[in-house]
Amino acid sequence: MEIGEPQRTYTVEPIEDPVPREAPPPEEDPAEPQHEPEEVPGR
Amino acid sequence: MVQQRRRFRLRSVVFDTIWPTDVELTAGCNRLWTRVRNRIAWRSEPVHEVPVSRCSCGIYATSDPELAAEYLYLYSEVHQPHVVYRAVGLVSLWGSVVEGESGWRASRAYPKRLFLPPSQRRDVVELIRDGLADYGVPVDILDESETPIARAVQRVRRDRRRRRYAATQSG
Repeated sequence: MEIGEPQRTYTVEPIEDPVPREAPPPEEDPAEPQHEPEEVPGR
Repeated sequence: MVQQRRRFRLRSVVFDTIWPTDVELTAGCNRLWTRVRNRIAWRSEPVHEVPVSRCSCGIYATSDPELAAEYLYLYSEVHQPHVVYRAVGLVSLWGSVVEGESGWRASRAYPKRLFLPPSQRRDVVELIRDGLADYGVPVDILDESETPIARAVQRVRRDRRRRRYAATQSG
């Protein structure tokens, strides 16, 4: 492809990723922590 | 582009490079001398950065839609059994970039939007459009719309028809 004489050379990085990569699957919610049974004061 | 089972993959018009679908295309230097040097084990110095001004390497894009549209027909008279169709499009370029008078060549690229020229076999073009879905970018079948790329493709097709007609008349 004829793009003419080089005018300048530079480095550029995209602000957003141009590749529509697949998002990783969402992590599963951690299991509900088991609560210790509350101590009920005796009567 | 070429077909791999029911999927379609973009392929360079000039080289046998396939554009991957889930990661950017990274340029190498395909000049003959560079490729020969790479096969000589005792030469340990690295290949030059891609692209550089003194070489012609890199992934090319042009700011001229008509020049891009010409590539829909480049080498079309050469028998290429694996090539099933041609596409033109917009591309994101980044990394190292050499900017020319009418375009760029860069170290990294990924398609941004793809356009398929119309065909009498609309069903075939729709199949190809669907087969390009893995790239995750919009794929349009060009029509008679007045977008710059549609106009450029129409003009290039018209000019080709005129040249072929003129050739038949003079022959």
